[in-house]
Amino acid sequence: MRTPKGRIAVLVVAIIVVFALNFPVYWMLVQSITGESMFSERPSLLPRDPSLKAFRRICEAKPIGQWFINTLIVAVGTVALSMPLAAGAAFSLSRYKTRLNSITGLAILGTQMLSASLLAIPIYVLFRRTGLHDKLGGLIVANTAFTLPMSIWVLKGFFDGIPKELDQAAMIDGCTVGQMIYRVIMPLVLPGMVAVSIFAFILAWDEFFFARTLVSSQANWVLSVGLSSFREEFTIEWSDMMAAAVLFTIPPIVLFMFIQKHLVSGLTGGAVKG
Amino acid sequence: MRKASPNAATTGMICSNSAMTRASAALILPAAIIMGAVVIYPILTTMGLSLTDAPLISLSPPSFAGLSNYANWLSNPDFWHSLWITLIYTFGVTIGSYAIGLITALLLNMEFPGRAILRGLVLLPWAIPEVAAVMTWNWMLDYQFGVVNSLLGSQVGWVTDSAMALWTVTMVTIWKQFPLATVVLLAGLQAIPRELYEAANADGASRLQQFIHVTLPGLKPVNSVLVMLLILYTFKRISIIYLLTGGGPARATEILPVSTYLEAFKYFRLGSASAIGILALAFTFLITLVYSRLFLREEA
Repeated sequence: MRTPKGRIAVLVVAIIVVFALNFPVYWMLVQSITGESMFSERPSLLPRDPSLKAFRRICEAKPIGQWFINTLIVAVGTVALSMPLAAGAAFSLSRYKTRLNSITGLAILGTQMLSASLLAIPIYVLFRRTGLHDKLGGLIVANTAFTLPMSIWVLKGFFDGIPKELDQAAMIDGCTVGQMIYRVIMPLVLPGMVAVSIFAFILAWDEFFFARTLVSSQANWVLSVGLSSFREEFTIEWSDMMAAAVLFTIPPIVLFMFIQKHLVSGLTGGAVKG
Repeated sequence: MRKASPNAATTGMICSNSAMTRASAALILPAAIIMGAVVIYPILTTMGLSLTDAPLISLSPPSFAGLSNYANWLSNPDFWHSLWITLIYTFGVTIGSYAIGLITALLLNMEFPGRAILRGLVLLPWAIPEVAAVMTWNWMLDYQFGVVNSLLGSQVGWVTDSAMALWTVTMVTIWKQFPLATVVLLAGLQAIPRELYEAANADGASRLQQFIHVTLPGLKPVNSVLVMLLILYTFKRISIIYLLTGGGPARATEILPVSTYLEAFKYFRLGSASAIGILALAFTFLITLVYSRLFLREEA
């Protein structure tokens, strides 16, 4: 494969494979800008009489703006709630081996076995009793149930990558634990923190199941619920639905592109080390 | 930063051990409490509910029903059908995600121009929100106007034909999940020392032999964890099936998490739903336990 010819051959194969696997993404885009001719016997693979009409239609017909803001509130709130907790826990798990830490570590693994449908039942009951039901704040708390373990897990990998000698050096120089974390460790782990925050943001942005179960009034819907509601209508306007899907997809995709490298090393770091 | 405050008092030249322990506890406690609230509390509550006949809407005290919910499920053929479907789905998705992940990882591990861009693009299915992805598949798989039937020249009811629906949801889930396998396997491939390939080359090993004797053993450390993750993530997945088929047609795709959800939020039987949720959790736990005994122990 070292020959230029071989490399080009691999490139061609790789392009074909990667683009074939991404066909649904392409199709979503194409269909969102396809005009009235969607329902034809042979759909065209290229956009036919492209227009942005579908985007305008959904913005007029649906409270997309409100859903967008709700989703943003939930995603930002989830990050704001889970990140400080995750950073402290991840640092503690990375540096100390106490009994509390090993129990928490096990609980983190345990969350990986819980399906959203199992969690939804007790959370629903709890929220009905406490009045958190149908509130965006409640949804933020519920989303933390799965962003927190993931954030702790990946952040621990970043903390593990910082040599312990640095902590000790800071301590000998007279730092308290708090100062040591704030002045020495945090600056080093900042890129990791940013990456994990963005990943948590994407998870909360995409979340559908709790949003569907715990929030009922349409004014409090998030985009994932709003989007799924298109399907329940009598006649599905597919180009409208694809336009809504594109709007919903843009923020996470853009963010994903930024953190892709960090995310990959963070996740695989955790996976490789077990 | 908030974290600084609990230990600000312990100023000293060198931090003592007890201060360290206190620091570690103070740092993990908030998260540990939340983890308890979102993991242990829900499990206990669900177990409690599973012993009652609680309905969803009325929150009047439900009456104790003992183990009757469990007995009902375990003697119900629908439950065993759901369990069977769950196993087929889980193993199908795991094998499929692994296979496509391995192919793409091997391909993207070769040297060619533009490799970084393609490595990013291959992860797109993962980055797309699940709901948006499923809506797109819904449209692509439309019986009459969908692009899949049109391109294949077929007349398949992908999500409406009960013989086909399970394979359809398996396929869509594989599509959504394979990038996780790609990422982990790519990291695994990069961890294999190049010298091993050079030595194999010098010994005159063919490409296939190199793959069998160098690449596959080299992936072993990531394999066991990756397969575990794939099984766990698939076993509890719900949104794809819920949005694609709703568990139908005629329960053909009703895996256990979907049954749990429908029982609770469609038929409003919380007690019964809790029982099936706990049964599903027990099976997940059993599989995890057996798997980790078989494959994870040697590395620990």
